[in-house]
Amino acid sequence: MGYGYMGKVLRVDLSSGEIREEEIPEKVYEDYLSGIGLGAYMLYQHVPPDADPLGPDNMLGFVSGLLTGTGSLFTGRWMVVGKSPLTGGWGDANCGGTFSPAIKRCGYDGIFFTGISEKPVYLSIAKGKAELRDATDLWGKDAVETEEILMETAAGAKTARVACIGPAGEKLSLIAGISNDRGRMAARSGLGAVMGAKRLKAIVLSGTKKIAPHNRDEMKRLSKKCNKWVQFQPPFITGPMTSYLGALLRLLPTQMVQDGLLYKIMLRKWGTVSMNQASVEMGDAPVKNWAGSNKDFGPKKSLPVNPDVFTDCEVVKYHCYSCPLGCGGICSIHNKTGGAFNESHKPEYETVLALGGLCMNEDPGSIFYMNELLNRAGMDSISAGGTLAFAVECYQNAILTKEDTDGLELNWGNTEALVSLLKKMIAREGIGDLLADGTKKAAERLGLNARKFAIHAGGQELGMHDGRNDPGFNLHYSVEPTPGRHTTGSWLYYEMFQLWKKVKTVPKIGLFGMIYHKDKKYVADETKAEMGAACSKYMSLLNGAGSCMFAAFMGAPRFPMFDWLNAATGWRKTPEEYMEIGRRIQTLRQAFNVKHGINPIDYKVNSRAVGLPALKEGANKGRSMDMEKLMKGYWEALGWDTQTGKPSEATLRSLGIQ
Amino acid sequence: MTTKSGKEIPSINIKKCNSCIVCIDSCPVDCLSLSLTNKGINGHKYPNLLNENSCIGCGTCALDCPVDAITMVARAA
Repeated sequence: MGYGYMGKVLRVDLSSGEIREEEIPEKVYEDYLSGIGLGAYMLYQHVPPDADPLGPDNMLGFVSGLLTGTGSLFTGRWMVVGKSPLTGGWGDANCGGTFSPAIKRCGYDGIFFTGISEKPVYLSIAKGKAELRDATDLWGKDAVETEEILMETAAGAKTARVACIGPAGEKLSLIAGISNDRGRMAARSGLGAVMGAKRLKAIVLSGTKKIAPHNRDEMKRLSKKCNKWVQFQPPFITGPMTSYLGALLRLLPTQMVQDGLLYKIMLRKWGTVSMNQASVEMGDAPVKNWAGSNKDFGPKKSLPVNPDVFTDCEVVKYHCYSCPLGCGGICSIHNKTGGAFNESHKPEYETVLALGGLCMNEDPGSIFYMNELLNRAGMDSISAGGTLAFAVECYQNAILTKEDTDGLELNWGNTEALVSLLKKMIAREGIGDLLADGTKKAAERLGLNARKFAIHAGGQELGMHDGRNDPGFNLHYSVEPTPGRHTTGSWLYYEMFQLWKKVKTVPKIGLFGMIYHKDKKYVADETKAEMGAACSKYMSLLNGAGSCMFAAFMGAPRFPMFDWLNAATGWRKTPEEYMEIGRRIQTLRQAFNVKHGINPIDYKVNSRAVGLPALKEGANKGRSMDMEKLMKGYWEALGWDTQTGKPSEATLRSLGIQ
Repeated sequence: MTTKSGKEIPSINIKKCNSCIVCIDSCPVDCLSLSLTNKGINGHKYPNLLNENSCIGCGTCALDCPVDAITMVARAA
């Protein structure tokens, strides 16, 4: 066996109850790393093209990262992979906390489930023994309650780590996710519903296996160097002042190539909520179901959700495994939620904007409350917020009536109605049953007029980053095998990754790599396609290594992933060779979609989000972009067919994909 | 640094520690816990050896610490 990875996976057939180990050839790690790459390798082989995502043939995998536990920093992310019931194609979701090393400490790089259990079960691995246990008594309990009970009853040598679903997954909501560490969520792609369909309530891991890097001294040397950048923390401005930072970025005609060290400083101070107001002001955050702008949700209106509001009730910073940054936090929310909950994870930027500006909701207490409701239910806050905003707009246009909503008056910013509607979605009661599967499914049932209000790509609601401000987001929403995701690439991400300083084959941007005119962002040219392809390849690597995207924002010279990978495994690969691994992972995920009947062009993002029609006011006034040209350029840059988006035979052959 | 004798315990240098909790995960007997200290930026938790008797002195925490913030030292007599 090599170094850094464990060399095997656990296979669990929930129909028969059979549990067995499977050795993974070393070449698989060299070709795909671990994490999402290993997941793609397994699913491409084992999920038949006609598999129902909620049926027994679908495979659900929980994978750790190649760098997890090797002495690297920022590498505590795990992923869940499976055929998505939300999009019908490749699905994945990513989460931090402490679950990723727990997979490897049990001796595996991944745990893969097929089949459907007759009754609710959970998988327990403790003292080297894996077994399925009855979870009938846990069915119906929320994610936090479930975790608490299982932590108490688990009998391992180590404190157990738990991943589980809440009621949303049990009720097969197609926007359900999987929770670990008391409400951190692997939220996207609706894979909580796959877990629910398999009647798998939880996974409980308690292991003490060693994870051996090839060169521990070199791992530490790299980590110490990286850590110095993380600890660099000058004093910064106050929360409300961030809105003016956003306004400045909006007003300047030119833009500096952004250095993510600034964002690192903001993350460490506030977490992801640091961008709440700045994003609205610069046109990055969508408002009023993507039909509004910063004019509708300006600095005064968004003041109640300024970053300081969230850190003011933060009791302690929260660090994921191997993270020196600590962008998370545990908040005391007793007063903010009328005594309903005592504490919760600090809401993320995505959650605040999806439940805030997108619905014109300016009440922070309701956001804390809904955030905890969603975490406990195991439901994706991005998709839930997107669906709430969709419902409000349908109501405003008489597609939904007061009779349909059981008397709820779905007006913009009506906090009480939004909270009530969310509870209905979680419980699948009344109109909530229609909305619990996201905007696309709801619009299909509500008719043609509702479709233009369903803002999604390939069935998945978009992250809270507006592609009319940064078209790179629209590109990745549209071309990724998992559509609608904000965690792969954008022009801003490309700037912050600073890949050109480490990889010879990617373009350098800006005059002397420093400054450019903003109008250039909206030109669909070859450089943009290459930037998009580079982001996808790089993020595939990060997701194979188990790395955090926020660390990559510090820039490739400060976040030494390529060097860590070599030191952990003993390989001597160049950054260019690693990027080719990234292309292989991305291509295999796209090949999975093609195998499963997805037409890549169908993932193109909703017209409104592209700027068709263009907004008449605000930061993104008049902006739109030729998405098809951009998509075709991206496909070409990855060696995929420029007309269909399918990986060409020559590309598949050259990458060794069969 | 690493000992099998069980006669040593971890000493955590809070000035070097970055709260990454790798040591908490590494400890095979869960004898490290997190607690708040006054060091640096407010609100970060740092590892703490709660119970010397439960520590087996294996040195895994010191070995795995990415920034060498833990050294193994002799137990007090």
